[in-house]
Amino acid sequence: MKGSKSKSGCVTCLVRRKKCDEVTPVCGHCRRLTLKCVQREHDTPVPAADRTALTMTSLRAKQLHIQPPVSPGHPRFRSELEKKVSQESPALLSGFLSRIADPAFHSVQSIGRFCIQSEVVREAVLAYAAYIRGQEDADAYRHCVKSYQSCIIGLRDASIRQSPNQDLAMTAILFLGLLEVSG
Amino acid sequence: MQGLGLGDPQFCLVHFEAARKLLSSKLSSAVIEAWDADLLSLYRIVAECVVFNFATMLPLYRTKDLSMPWASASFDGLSSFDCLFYENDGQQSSSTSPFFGGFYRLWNLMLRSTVLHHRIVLNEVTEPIAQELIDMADSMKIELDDTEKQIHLWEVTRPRDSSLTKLYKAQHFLNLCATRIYLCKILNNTVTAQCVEVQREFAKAVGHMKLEEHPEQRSLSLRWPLTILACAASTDQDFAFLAKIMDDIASTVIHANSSMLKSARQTLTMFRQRGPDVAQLQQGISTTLDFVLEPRLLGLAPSLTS
Repeated sequence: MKGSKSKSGCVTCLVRRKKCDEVTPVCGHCRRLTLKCVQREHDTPVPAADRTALTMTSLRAKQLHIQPPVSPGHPRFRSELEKKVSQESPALLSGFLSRIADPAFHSVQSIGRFCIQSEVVREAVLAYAAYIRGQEDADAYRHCVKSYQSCIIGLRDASIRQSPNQDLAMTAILFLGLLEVSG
Repeated sequence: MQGLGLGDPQFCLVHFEAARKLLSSKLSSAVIEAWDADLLSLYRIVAECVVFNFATMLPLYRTKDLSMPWASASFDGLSSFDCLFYENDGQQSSSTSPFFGGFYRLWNLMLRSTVLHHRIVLNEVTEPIAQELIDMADSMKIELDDTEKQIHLWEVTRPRDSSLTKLYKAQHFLNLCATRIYLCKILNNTVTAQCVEVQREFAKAVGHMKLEEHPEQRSLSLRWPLTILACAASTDQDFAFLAKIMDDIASTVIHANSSMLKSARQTLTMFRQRGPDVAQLQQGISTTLDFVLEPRLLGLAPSLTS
């Protein structure tokens, strides 16, 4: 038996064909993916002229800045190397640790989580890892420079420096700074 | 991105300044108790990186070369980071273990010492400013004394013969005594390595290092304190002891710090053998301890000299 359709979910979830949790002013899906949560006006017939606003194409045309849907919400890994470094990232700072450092610093899972969430963090981690592991290797150095540049471009996007993305920007910048320290 | 020169310490300061702003913004708007332990570890890493790198890199820059607000009266010594490292009663958190290998408070004091030095150089010494700077210095001395007590207190609660306990004590005294010598020189630039106060702190640091445990290799945190102590060595025997440790660590740490340690060691060795050259005399370097106020003259990487 099919469930009944929601009459009060947001337009963004409607377009994305997701079940909206109907939280206002920003529903759970939109909050998690930082999409613009466009609420429906209840019991108000949609004027004919506005009906075209309920499609992705027309939403983009109206420059409502709704991001295209992604699944499962995070950017894909672009290479096996990127995936591998991201998986190893929680322990990447172990080279700086003192023997008298707290064991919790040996594996910081937040770094791994941010690598999954953000391409900017991945680029920074990749740049750092490539530099540390390939200081004598020209290819690794080139890879490092490329990732470094991509990360800087990503950081110039003002949105990453605003909440709730500040942790992502801060983590990326941390690795860039440590890369310079290691030079 | 222009002229992207990886491994330039100046870029590292730019990055950590950006990290400082983001972390300070985060700390001012959120409740620390709401964070999970793992996220707190990350924030502590960021905070320690910021303070540590500023504390150890800023001495390499002349005051007029700095565009950051370090020399301004509004600089608060990064007190916004205190909530990450101190309990509500002001005591350092027992669960906070050093990341780079030192008390957070020591890095903070070392940074504030450099800020004090830059402010002394930058400002005309009018009476209100002089008094303010004296108050800053007195406050730091009290904190250094308190930190020394905390080191002893920490040791009491740990297994005495444990190698980690010995290492902890040796490295902390190394940092503590080096900071005291640095502060002493900042407050009186005529002080030499033969001065009683300098020799007292030097003997304490070296004594702990000889009795307890040699500093661990590959520790970035030791470069600047070791350099200060090497500048404060009054006898060839003491200098040889420190030079050996500098060589051991330089062979294991990563590039920039390795070359800095080697350059410092070589410059000091030549200075001790031949005395100051003309260029050094022109820069006001007539004794080894003078290098503490102008560490860039210890023959550092070209990107740092300006």
